[in-house]
Amino acid sequence: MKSNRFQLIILFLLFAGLSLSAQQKPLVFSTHWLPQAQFAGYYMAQEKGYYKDAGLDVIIKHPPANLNAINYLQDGSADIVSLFLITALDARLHDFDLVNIAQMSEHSAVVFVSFADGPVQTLKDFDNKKIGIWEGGFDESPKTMVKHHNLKVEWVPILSSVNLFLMKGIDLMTMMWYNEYNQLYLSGINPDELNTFSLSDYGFDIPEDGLYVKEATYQDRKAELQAFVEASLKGWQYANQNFDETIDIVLNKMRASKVSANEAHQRWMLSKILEFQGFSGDQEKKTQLMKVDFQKALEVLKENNTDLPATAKEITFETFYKPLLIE
Amino acid sequence: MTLNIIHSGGFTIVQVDGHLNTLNAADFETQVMGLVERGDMKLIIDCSKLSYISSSGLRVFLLAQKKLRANKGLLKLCCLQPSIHEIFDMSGFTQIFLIETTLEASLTS
Amino acid sequence: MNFKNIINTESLSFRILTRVLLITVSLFVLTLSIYYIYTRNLIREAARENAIQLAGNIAGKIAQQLQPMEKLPQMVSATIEMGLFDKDSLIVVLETILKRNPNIYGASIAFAPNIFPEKGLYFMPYAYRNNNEIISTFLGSADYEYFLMDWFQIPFMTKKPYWSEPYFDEGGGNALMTTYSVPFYYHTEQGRVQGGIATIDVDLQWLTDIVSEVTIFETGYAFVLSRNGMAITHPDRSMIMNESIFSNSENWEEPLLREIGRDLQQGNSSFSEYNLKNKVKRWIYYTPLDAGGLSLAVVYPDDEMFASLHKMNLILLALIIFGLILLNFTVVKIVNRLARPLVDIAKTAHKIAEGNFNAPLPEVKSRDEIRLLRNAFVNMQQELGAYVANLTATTAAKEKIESELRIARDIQLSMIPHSFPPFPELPQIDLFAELKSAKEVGGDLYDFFLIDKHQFCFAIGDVSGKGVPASLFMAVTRTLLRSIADKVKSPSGIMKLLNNSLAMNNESCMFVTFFLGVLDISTGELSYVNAGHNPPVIIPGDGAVKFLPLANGIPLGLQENYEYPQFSLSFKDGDKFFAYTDGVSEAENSQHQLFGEQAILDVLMQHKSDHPIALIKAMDAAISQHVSGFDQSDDITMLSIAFNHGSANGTPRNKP
Repeated sequence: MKSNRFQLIILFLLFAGLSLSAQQKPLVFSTHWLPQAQFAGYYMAQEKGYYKDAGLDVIIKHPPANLNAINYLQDGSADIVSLFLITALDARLHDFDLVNIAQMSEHSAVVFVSFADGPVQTLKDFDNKKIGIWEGGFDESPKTMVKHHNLKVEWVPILSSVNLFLMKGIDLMTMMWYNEYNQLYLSGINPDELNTFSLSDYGFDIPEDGLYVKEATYQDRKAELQAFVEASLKGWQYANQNFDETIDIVLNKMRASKVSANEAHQRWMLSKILEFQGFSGDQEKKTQLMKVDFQKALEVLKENNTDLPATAKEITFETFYKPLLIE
Repeated sequence: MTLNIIHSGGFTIVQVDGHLNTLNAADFETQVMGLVERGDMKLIIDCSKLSYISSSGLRVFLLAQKKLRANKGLLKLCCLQPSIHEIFDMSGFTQIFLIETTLEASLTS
Repeated sequence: MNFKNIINTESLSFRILTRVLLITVSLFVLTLSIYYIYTRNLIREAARENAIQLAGNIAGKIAQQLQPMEKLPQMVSATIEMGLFDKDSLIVVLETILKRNPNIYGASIAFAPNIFPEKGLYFMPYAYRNNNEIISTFLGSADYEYFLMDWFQIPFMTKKPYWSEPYFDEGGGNALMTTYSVPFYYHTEQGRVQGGIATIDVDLQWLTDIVSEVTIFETGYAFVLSRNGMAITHPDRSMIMNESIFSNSENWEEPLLREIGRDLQQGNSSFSEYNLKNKVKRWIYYTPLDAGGLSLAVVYPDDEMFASLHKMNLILLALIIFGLILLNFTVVKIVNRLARPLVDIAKTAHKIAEGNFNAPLPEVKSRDEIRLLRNAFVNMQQELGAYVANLTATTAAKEKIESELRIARDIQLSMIPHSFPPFPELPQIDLFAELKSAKEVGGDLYDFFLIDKHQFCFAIGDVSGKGVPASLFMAVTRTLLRSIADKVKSPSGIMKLLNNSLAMNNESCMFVTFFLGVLDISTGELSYVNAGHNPPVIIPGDGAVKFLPLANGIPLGLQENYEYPQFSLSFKDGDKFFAYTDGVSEAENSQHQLFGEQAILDVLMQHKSDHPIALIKAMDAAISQHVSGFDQSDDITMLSIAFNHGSANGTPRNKP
């Protein structure tokens, strides 16, 4: 009996494997940054076999620090990429044919930070100050916000660390709640020693992480993409419910990629990411892009780009957002 | 009960102090009869401090009087407290004994 | 008392032992605690001093290496500002630096963007080591915008030299590196401007080696932290460049660690304690290094630091326990030896208690309190023997007397009538009488009988004195009364004869107070004579109770031929009569208060309509209440008659 059952299982697995490889080419997903808890849901979906269960062969890759994931989409080395809404929309305005298939983040995590004992106490104090800001994208909303308040500032591009801020080489710095802000804490700065100005408090609550594919991929592999989004959501749910296990897997992933892995920091990041993605509340997680958020992102981009191609005018919410899940 | 015996002008005065009851009547009898036997002829029992007397005590008085009379002697009682006098009255002993109200009276008559 | 108890649970040795142990253990605990605290402080102080010295040594070694290195980029930046070198010969300068300084991995002069328009945006000559060669190159491209790097940006913007946060250099064989950057000025056509940054890259392997050499006890160690609290060296390699003192504060839920980190950032040194995640205690001494933006910490595991103390404690504890056991045995042995005669004496005492006055007491050789006790026991034994012998004799005599008195009382009681109602055939008379003998029997008596068909004779009396003589005299009186009443009918006649009979040859002067009454039951005429007895009470059917009017004759037995006056009274229907002896009026309570005649009258008045039985019982109850348990000292005798003349003619008793 036992050996019979065992043989059956082997047979089943063989067939399953065959059918997979026969039917499907792999689905390559690229995050928009190095491995970290920001992408925990996708790791868990893969780790727990949710992708496999959905009949998908998903490969997760990460771009190096100096490369934008959008390039992978462009050169075809990734089918799906995770991008900030504003980055993706900017690319779309510049004639890159990508579409949003799921909006993961629900709020902006961007925050201006200054030292509480420094010269910047209120928004008005931003005037004539040096503000550190990410180099290479995602600077649109903070910049638009400053512009809206008629403030003249000196923008200082920052690659990755918070050291310039810590050494007081700049007065302010744009940070992510779930990332740089906690790096300050983990460098010995206490929250009460900092002033924070959250973008969402100043009318620029533009959500961030979303999943993007080429228009063509959307048309050709709709079913697979839908399965990917569903399985990924399951992965996120799992991460939400199994925090410690998820942290372990994230840390392992980071170590494997030789990225500096700090448990305390990843814990903070995962808890904040879950909050920003709407997993912490009682409501069921949705992947819907709100039209109002789209509009706001569009306005911000148009204000920052004076030389948009003519095609940019044709972009509408409906052409940009192609939801795969019926919610 | 305590006894105090004084000799004065040929009289032997026996002062009785306290209760004279069945328990100490025999002791009282020995002492009083001792006086009579040795020849004291004129005996005065001063009852000013006698607070109670039982029939056994009365018997000793009677015994002493009987013996003294037989020897031509004399027994006088004096200074009976009202309660004692009442007992004497009731039992008729006032008719038997010579009773004076004061010690002086008993010594002079 | 039980022997077993004496020897077992509550034994002297047990009690002494518990007290001695309590005090000894308390003393030991106190001593040990003081010793422990004192020694612990000493050890901690020694560790602190050791740590300061150790950290000083290491810091000195590190500073010795790092401080000279700081001079190189400072010198380079000075020479550039002075314009001593042409921009194209700078690479040679860098190569020279590397050649002369084996600890320097690379050196660069990174110019700010567009300082040399002909060179473009980037100009950064860089020399570095590759195996044993020194390689020169120019860095800077869209892929490597060096002026966005911390090592450039921070000193450039703060205009101060800067030791970078250490990093793993992928090009340099994944070695741990740090970069020292010095900003320089440059004279261009626009004047003196910030020209860029001169740097050296320092391979920190030597630092790791110096620090790794340090061992403290078994597992203590030293480690180096960056400005941000990051572990630069650590025996646990997974910590290096991954965990900072602040992240470990979170991981181990130890806020103290964060405080240490912040104190360190302020440039302070201190010796303090903290706990690892599993609450393992550590002592740490931390001090900033003079160069590299680094700090040094030496860690002392608490358990190892105090291992010798704990070992000493264990030895002391073992000694104490051994000592206590020894003490235990000694105390038990000494006390048992001392207490042995006590147990023997106790056993003998029990034998004595059982009546064996000759039980031998143990010999006591010692000259202590136990010998005193033993001698006291011997004395007690002898005294007790003599006393008991005496007591036995006395008791026998007393028992004889008591039995005689009991007989006398029986005689006394048997002489008087005690069946009630005595004359059921005579409805005219209801009668009840009671004689309660005292413990020492008195001479009370009562009697009643019919002289003839109509003459009912009754009497009550009290013989002087107590005991057998009184009893006998009472018996004589009663016998004489009956025989005289046979011949003489008048009360005074009877009384006179009775008195003469008793007075004859009455050498002992015994006397009896006596009341005698003769009631004609057909007429209700009562004739009576009193010989010194307490006057009886007449209870009229209508009206107040009162003592019977009479003149007192002298008691019977004192004077022959005495004439007793006779009185008479007419009984009406429903009238009652109550006679008593002085046992009633002189019933005493514990305060020697007498029951009194007034009380008698009160009780009678209250119960005047009661039947004689009820009347006497009521009087009894009143007396009991008065004496309230005090011993009865004299006989109590009461006699009550109710006259119901009408009953003979069929009329109701209670005629209005």
